[in-house]
Amino acid sequence: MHLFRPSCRRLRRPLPRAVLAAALAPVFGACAHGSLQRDVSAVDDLLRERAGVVVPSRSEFGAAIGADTVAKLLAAPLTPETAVRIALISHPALRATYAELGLARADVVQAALVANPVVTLERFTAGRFQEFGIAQSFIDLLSLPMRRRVAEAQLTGARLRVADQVFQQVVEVRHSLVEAVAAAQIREIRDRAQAAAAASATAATAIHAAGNLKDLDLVNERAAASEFQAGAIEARGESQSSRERLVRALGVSTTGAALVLPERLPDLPANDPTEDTLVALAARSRLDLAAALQDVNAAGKALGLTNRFRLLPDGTLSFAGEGEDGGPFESGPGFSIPLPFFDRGQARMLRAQSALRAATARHEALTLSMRADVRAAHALLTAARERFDEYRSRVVPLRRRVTEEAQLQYNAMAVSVFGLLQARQGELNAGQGYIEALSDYWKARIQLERAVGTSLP
Amino acid sequence: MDRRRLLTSSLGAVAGGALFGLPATASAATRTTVSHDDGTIFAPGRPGRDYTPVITPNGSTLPFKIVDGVKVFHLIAAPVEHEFAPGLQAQCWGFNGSTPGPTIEAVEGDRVRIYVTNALPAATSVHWHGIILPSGMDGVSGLSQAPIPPQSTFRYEFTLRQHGTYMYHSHRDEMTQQALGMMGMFIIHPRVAPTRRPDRDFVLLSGEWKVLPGARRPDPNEMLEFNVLTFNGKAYPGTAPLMVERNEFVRIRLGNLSAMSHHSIHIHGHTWTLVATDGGDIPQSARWPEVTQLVPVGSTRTMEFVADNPGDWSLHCHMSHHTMTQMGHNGISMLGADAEMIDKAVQPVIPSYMTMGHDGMGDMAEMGMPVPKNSTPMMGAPGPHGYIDMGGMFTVMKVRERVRPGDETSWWQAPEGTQAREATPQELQRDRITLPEFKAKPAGHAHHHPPGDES
Ligand SMILES: [Cu+2]
Repeated sequence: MHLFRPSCRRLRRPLPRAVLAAALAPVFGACAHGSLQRDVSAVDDLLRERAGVVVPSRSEFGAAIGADTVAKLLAAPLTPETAVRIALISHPALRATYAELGLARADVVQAALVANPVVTLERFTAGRFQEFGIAQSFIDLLSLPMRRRVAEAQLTGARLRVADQVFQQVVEVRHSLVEAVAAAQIREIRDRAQAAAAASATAATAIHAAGNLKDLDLVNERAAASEFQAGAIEARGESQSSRERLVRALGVSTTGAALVLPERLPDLPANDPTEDTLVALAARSRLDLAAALQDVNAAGKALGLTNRFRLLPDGTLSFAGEGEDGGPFESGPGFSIPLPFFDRGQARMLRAQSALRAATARHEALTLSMRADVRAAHALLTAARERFDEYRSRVVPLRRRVTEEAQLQYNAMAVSVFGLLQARQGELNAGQGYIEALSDYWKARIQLERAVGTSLP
Repeated sequence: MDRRRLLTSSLGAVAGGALFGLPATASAATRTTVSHDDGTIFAPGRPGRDYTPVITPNGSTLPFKIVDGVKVFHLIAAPVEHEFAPGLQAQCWGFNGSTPGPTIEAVEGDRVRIYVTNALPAATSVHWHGIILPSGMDGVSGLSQAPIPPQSTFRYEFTLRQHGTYMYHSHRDEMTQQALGMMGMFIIHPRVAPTRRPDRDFVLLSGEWKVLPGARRPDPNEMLEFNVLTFNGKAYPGTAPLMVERNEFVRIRLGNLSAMSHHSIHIHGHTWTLVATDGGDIPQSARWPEVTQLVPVGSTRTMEFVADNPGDWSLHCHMSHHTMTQMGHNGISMLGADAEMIDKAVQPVIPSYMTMGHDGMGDMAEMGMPVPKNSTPMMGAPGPHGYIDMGGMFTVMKVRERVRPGDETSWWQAPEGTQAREATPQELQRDRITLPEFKAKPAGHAHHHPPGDES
């Protein structure tokens, strides 16, 4: 992997100016590009612990390496793993997210730079009077290490935020996949329900034609068949739309219709983690929580910086000389500072203190809401599992039995063809409930992953 | 008074007055063969000597013992697991392990003492239907006696002052207890035997039940839609045949304790004569011959004839729905519907579906399609010439030269020339029979096999 991570030096070697920059780098701060690669890698490391899939390597500009596999991945039925991988490789929005690392890194580089010295040259023609001066802010030099630490703390927060955004995208992909597969399954069931209703209407037509059914019953059957037809159309639209939403989450250029979906949702895992485990896991894993904590850290450092230079925000050392034509040229050092007479930094301090208080409170609020998020998602997950178990072990088998018994009653001519088809509708309805419960389980599980901040085993 | 001293021969008579509180003129001449007004006490009638015992197909006769000149019987009312026909069982209530209960048989003038033990979960009582007795022995719960609580035994005792065909049944919560089967026949033979005693004296009690296909208990709430119709608690093919030898003098006693239905009982191959009702013997001059006798609810009718026509003869209620069993009474009529069109639409949805009944019900029972457990085919059983599409209140009287063991399952072998068969072209030509034009036989809807069952 490191082979693909070009170092700053190797990249810039052919350029003499780059050699100069590299030589000066230890003195004047960071090599921006090499550090950017480290930022990207750090984000990828954070993701590797959380995404639950193989995270592709990425260039310093956030472009995934190995993009040629997307077409191949799209050719096979999507799994949660392949779908996430496709999005990680190809989604342009992720590149925009990664670019935010560059913004934060730029701040660090900026913070490590000393303000340039100011040179003044003056010449007055009339009296042939000349003077020059060179001034350098010495406060800038003094505050440089602290400014740099503040920027680095902010960069760490930025890495966490970028990783969190990518993780959210991963979760979004999974959610979209579950919705698309569930919609396809429900579409199939609604088609079968529509076929059953149509069969009922056909039977009614034939029995009516034979003179054994009154108009009321015939019209009733036809109305029901049409309603089921409308239901099937609705399910078709939802299925098509959910495929397009999946395409959007994947960030690929194919159409929803071209996506190859798995035939059914995966079965439930054997068991779910306990609520306590999940709350503890969330405290360790939530990237936005870590970022909020990092904000506190950065705000603290910023407050320290402000405090150190509150009375003396600026100050320069200078060297100046002046003289007239033919006259002696005199020169000497100078020193200037603003006197903290009126502005003693009260406003800056208030700002920095408020920023720290806000960051601390935000972190605390996020901690609380994180716990509630976990419990809420866990409650949904538990209910969805129980509901699914109810459907799998009782509703579906019993509805199947109802159809079988209705068939026997039909054979005994104790139930009409309409009663038999109605039993079948009940069975299909149970099948839809089964799929909805399973889909709700997976959506709750994904919601829980969002709340915990990492994929669950 | 010492009753034992009063016992005499069967025809002996001793004065005693209105001993048991009955009005002196209780009996009409048509139901007595001796005088009961003078307090005569008769010796208990003996089977074989004083009467030819009746035959209760699918049933039995209640045994008795004689204690001090009194015939002592014991009925035990209890739940019973009853089989209406092969494959159809139900939780019923009956007597001594069956429904209907065993036939009680006695002789005019007998003193009977009947213990009734209640092994039911509910109170009960027994009414002796049609029998003239003291009011307190009439068995109407609340009116003539206190109800018999569960696990109690009541004693009924009375002297039989009539002869004829009677019944007994619960008279407590009749709707429930009779719907569940608490009934039986009570036969009283005449003290003075008629000139010719029957060779075969059959007892058939009609009943009706509501047992939904797959259910396990008769529904006592039903008022109209009864789907199991029975002789002696059995629906054909559960009914045992009536075995008769040629030229035997046959009596058939019909009783009806159905909840709501009268029954027109029809005999084939013979003309029978109504000789008695539950009111007594019909004078010779008033008897009439016929082939179908209506038996109203709560009545008995006694028919006699000479079985002079050998063969297998059906004996059944002529109300067509009473010769069907559970099935076929709920669905929508498919008669005349385009079965192919319906099959084509429904089979993709329910592969095991096929349209039935579009050309009638005749073939329904023999399709052999799976039916709900604990239910019987709509009707019938295999016969010697195809399927017998009759069920319910249907039985067969088999008249043979000699009845041998095993004849119950035999079929009549029609002598040459005595059986309907397809007419030959020669016969048609000889008798100048013109046939209507038939189209070529359509390939037809293969309704005799479930889809996927073609072999
Ligand atoms: Cu009838």
